[in-house]
Amino acid sequence: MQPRFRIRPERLTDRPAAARAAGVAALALGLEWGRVLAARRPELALASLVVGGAALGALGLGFSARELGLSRSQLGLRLVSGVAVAAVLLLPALARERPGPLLPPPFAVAAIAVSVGEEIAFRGALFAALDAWLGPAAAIVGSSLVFTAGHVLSHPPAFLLAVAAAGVLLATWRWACRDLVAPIVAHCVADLAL
Amino acid sequence: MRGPRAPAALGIAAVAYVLAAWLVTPGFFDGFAPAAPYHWVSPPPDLRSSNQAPSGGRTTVPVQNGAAQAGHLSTGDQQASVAYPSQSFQVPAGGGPITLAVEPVGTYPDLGGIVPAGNVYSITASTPLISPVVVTLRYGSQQVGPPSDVFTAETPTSAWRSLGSINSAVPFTVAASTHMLGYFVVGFPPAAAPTPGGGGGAGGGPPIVLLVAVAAAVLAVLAALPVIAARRRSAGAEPEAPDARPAGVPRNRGGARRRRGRR
Repeated sequence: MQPRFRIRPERLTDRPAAARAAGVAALALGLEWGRVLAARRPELALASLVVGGAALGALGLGFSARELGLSRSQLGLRLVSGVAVAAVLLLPALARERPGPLLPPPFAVAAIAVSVGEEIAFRGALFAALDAWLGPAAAIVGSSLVFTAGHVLSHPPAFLLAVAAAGVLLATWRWACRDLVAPIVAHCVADLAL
Repeated sequence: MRGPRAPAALGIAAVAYVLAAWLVTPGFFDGFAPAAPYHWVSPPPDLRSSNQAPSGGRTTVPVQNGAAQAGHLSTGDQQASVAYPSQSFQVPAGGGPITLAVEPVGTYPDLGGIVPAGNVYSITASTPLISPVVVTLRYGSQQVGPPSDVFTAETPTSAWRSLGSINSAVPFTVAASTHMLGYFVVGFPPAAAPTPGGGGGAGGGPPIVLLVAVAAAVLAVLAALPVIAARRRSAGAEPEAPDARPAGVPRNRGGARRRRGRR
């Protein structure tokens, strides 16, 4: 049997798949940067989070639920697993007893919108497009790189390695379990807690 | 085939995440980090090389029908702002405009134990306030978590007092309502000042980070195993698209429907 977890160079010439992956990556990156730039205006901060999260989530409309890793099968188990993945994301902060800023309630709701939108865009749509083009290794690496690039305008450089590592962890889960529910839950919980 | 490589890959990814997240506080931090590095008047030693000077702001509050109009003034770097409802300022005798200014300052009344989490700003107006305005200050330091209060001192010889805080709609800021202009700073009251060695620091060095990394790997793998097992049980004869699909062959979306039709 052909090993699955490798980049498939023979697919590099698949132009439709490449165009689809490049298009999703460009859209996800553009929406993320646009959201961050809009949020720099205080009067647009809340709206940019909600609208930006919704726009990122809309990238998933071009894919089936199965391609995105969304399924109602074993939903309870996936939700519980999401809490466990959230605990993994929070462990470094919990171990050092360093709380992050407390989000005001409107921003907590907005944080959920952005978290769901980012997961659908990066680990859902972009992962699926890259997986269909070059395979899962490229999907994990590529979606994590674009996810990190999406945060260069909002994060100091020192934070980007942690963002990239979180992207790799969530994308690896997405590949290993073929599941996006747990990354969504984990991302939401981590954003609310930090 | 995923096989045992999937849990192993997850464990490795979890360890890598912990090691990367350990380099910054609080770790993975998404979407709500400050838009740009804080601009300090007196930067901490580790930020001196990269620090940019903070900016101020100035505006003219228009007067119409004998009343000062509502508005909003922010510094150029968005680190301090004043929101003023209509009729906040006393109107000058001639009915002319009112000047409002916000400037970061390096000289201010002794903080007396207050631990600042940002610059001290001087907010001045050409006429006195007659009703409250809202001062919002972004903070650049979280030594023991986010700061709680805005403090004010009315003159260079006044003592600082806390204004408390009100809900701020902007992350990484603290806002407070004030009846008087003067000096303003966001920070921690003396009782909440960080103690030496407190707050976790680097978290105790390499042994702790390794323990946390191992714990994260175990947790990630344990969380994944039931999902992977359930997935395999339910997968049955279901093909693992898109991996199983040869290059260039479109997805067979009608297959399941045809199989159901044969039954």
